[in-house]
This record gives sequence, structure tokens and C-alpha cells, in this order.
Amino acid sequence: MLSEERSKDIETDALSAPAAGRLANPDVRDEFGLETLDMSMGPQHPAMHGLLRLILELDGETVVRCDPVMGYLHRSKEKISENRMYPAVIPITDRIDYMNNMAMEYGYCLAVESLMDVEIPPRADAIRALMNEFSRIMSHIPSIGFLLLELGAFTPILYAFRERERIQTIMEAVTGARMMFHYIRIGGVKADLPEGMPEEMWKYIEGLEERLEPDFVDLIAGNEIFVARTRGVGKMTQEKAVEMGLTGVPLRCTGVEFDVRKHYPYGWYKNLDFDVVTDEAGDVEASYRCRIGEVKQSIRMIKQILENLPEGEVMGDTGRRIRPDEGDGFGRVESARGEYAVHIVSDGTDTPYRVHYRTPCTVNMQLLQEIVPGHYLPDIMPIMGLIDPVSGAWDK
Amino acid sequence: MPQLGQGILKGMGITLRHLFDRKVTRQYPEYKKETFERSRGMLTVDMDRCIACLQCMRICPDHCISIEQTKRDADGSGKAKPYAIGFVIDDSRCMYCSLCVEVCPVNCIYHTEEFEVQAYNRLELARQFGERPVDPTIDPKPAVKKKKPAGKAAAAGAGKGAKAADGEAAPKRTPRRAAKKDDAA
Repeated sequence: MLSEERSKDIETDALSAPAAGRLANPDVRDEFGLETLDMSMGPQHPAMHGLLRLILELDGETVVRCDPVMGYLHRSKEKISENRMYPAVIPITDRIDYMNNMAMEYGYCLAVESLMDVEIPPRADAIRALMNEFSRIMSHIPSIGFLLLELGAFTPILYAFRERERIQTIMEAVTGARMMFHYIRIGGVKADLPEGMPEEMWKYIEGLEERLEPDFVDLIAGNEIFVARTRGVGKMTQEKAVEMGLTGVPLRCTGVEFDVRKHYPYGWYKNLDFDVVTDEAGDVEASYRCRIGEVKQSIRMIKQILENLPEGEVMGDTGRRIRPDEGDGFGRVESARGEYAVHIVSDGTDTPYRVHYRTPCTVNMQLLQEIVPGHYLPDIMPIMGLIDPVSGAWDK
Repeated sequence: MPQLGQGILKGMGITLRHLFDRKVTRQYPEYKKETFERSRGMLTVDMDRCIACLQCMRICPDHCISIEQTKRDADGSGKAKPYAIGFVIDDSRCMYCSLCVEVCPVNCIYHTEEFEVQAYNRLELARQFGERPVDPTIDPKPAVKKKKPAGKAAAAGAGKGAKAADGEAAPKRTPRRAAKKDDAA
């Protein structure tokens, strides 16, 4: 991948490395006295997923070096969590990954519950999984739209947001908010599904199944411009993906079968029948195919849950004050972007002693440093679409 | 290998078909989105029902509720009870998490359907509900982390469960699950 000299430079000091002297074609430099160009892309950039700065070193239009600089949206979520009571941290976790909020709540609640002696009612477990899958669709479909938008296609983002809007309406009817749900609680969920909601969800899911094939597969997958811009771009091997600790779609699009829902099942996922979607190619096009496949699997799961929705309570008995025992709590879930884990250290008081959020975006971002060098400058945007990072999640 | 341009033509056919679909957008200020029973809009307080228990103020993660409490015989029973003479909700801080609504014992604080709010400065966003205005800039709950003293915590931990039978204090930072297994063995 990288030359030895390059790797050494990254190790020594990535940010202050001198610009000159690393041309893609050193012979040309000797002949004409050319030098590379240092350029900063972001933090305010229309196509950047939030606030990310990329320090690029360019040789013509070829990227020689790409150093992502994170931290422009740092909101010290972990420190704030230490000063709040356990239930009051849940709205904070909503704002970590603001495209897939439900998984963020779920991971935190699983971590707290691992410290407590509380039994989650089966209906609450099923509703959690149901809402989680809706949240995943709500995240995957717009991320396909964003990928296409950055490549210059405007139509898919409109179709994607049409779907997102419809799911948001369902979410608002169930949880009370369109994005910051605050629905999954320690011990269960906030409230049962409203009257008639399962039927409405079923109707929507059947409609989405019909619309998915023409609007997101036929429109995009065969398009020559899309294929030319994405096939072979951001290609990586399985070994590299595992080595970098990637999770989620960037890992699965190289062919590694890993999904927390399948391999470390939690909650209602133990009872569901679904496949882990993988692809062999490991490039941007493969990640697009993976996302479409995962949306289809989510639809399949939602149908299964709605078919056998258990009856009963939706809230376990946690007592009036939530005060977990001393010790380490851990919860891991598969969010739309990869493995999301929460580690809580409790000292037996009302507030956590320490909370750590392991967000997939932070880890998946190192991919930029590894695979962008050698690509053209306009290829950075499709590669960002492959990772599909969310600013709130990598900075926390 | 399909002919070049076929995919683009197919895509154009799909977009053409959508031309005849029903519109999915609405003209916002004229046509507003429907709200639901559970929709979390701006907060409001019914001061006649408020018993000044201060629970909403304590639970609020953003410290956006400030209450000034006095004692007053409001219902003519001859006994002076806590009374909220000042009540302010600072909308510039509120994040509509609904924790105060859930904790209120008399359901006097609740969400309305209102979600549009605008002001020229932040102080205008603080809405007063009581007789006497409260300064919203003063933090009602200064951030002091109350920690149980180490000895007390250990004693409480030991007194709680089966661990007391062993006569040992709970070991620090041991997962509950692991501790349980030990108990069973």
C-alpha cells in the first residue's frame, strides 16, 4: 500500500511533514523542478459529511497524502455523561450518531442493564429491535442518496428523503420526536406502540419493498456514470480491512462476514432469521450493494417482528431510582455504520463514574489515510460515501 | 456488456414515471405537518396545579427550568404549603427530552403542539409562568457532583444483597454478572 518512507513519515509527524519531495513520479520532478501542493479540504466543505478537515498533498490531481483531522464537532459527550443521572444520559446518546439515533440509545441502555438486575419484557425487546431496524433504513437510504449527490446526481437524494420523511412520521407517532427519539429506556421502552401502528408500519414496509427496486436499484446500479465513478475506487483487501479494525459496511463489502446482530446476538435478534450481507469487491460500488442488501434484510426483519409481536408489558421493573451496582457495564450493538459499544464504570451512585462510547466512525475513518493516496482528488467523495461517517459520531 | 447509455435511459424512464406521482412535499407556512398525540412540542405549565415539588427542576438535564419557591396557603386550608411563585422555562436550552413531563406527579407540565419559536435575543426565549419573574441566567443546579463517601458506599453495597451473608464488602469494579456467579457457587 504505502511505501516504507511514507509510513515512516506518518509515524513521525503526520501534520507537520514537509510538503515537497514525494511526487508520484519523481523523475518528472527532477526534470522540471516540480513540487507537490499542500491543500486543506474542509472543515467547512459542502460535500464533507459534517466537520472534517483533510490535509491533502497533491501531485497534480493525484493525492499523495491524506490526513484526516477530527475534533471540529467535539462536544465532550463522555464528560457530560459523567455529570448526569443514568436516565438523563439517554438524550445525550441520541446526539452522537444523529442519523441512526435508536442504535445509540440501545447500546447505552444495554450497558446500564448489564449492571442491573432487571428483566426486559419480551414485547419491549421486540419493539426495540423493530424501531432499530426502522432507524437503520432511515440511515442507509439517505446515505446512498448522499453518495450519489456527491457524484453529481440529484434525483436519488430526493427519493431517499421521501422515504426518510415517511419513516420519520412513523417515528414521531411512536416516539414523539422525528430524530432525537429518547424512546429506549433503561429496562424497556418509553411507551407501547400506538393504536393501529403495526398495521401502518406493515403498509409502509410493503410500499418500500415495491419502491426500493426501481428507485434505488434500477435507477442507480446500472447507470454508466455511477459505475465509472465507483467501480474499483477505494478498493481494499480483506486483510487490510481486518487489520484496521473496520466494522459495518466497510468491512462487509470486502467479504468478511461480521455482524454483531448475528455473531453476538442481543435482545430480540436471537429470534430473527436474517442474512449477513457481504460483497466481494471491496470498493465503493460494493458498499452501495451492501447497503441495499441490508435495507432488504431490515425489511425482512421488520416483517418477522410484526408477524409475531409478543403481548405484555413494555417496561421492566427498575425501581424508582436507577442506581446500578458497582462494576463495569458493557453493551454492544450493530449500528448502521458498524459496531457501536458502550463501556460504563459505575461506582454505585446516581451518576456514572466513566462512560466510553466506541463509535464505528472514529475507527472507520482511518481508512482515509490508508486508501486515499493514489486516487484522484474527486475520488475522495465516493470513498467518504463508502465509510459514510457522521460528524457527531466520530467526534462525540 | 449492455450497450452504453442503456442504464442512463432506464434511469430517465424511472424519473419520467415519477413525474406523474402525487406530490410528497407541502408548502410549509400555509400547510403545516400533522402532529401526533405524543409529539413533543414546546413545554407549558398549568400553574394552578403545580405543587412546587421541584422534581422537574432536578431532573432537567439542561437546567432549563428554574422555580422560585415560597410557602403560601393557596387553597384556603389554613396550612402553608410550598408554592411556586416564580417559574421559568428557558427554551434556548430545552432539548425536548420529556423527562420533566414524565416525572411530574400532578401532570401540570406538558408538551404543546407548538414547535415554531423565534426571538431577537436569547432572554426572550425564557418564558415566565409565575407571578414573579425568575432570572433564567442563574443556573438552578450548580454542577456539584455528589459522591457517596467510600465507607458508606461499601456498607450500602454489602447491606443490599446476598453479599452481606459472606460478611465481605462488595469488591470494587466487579461486574454484577460475575459477582452473581460467585454467589451461586
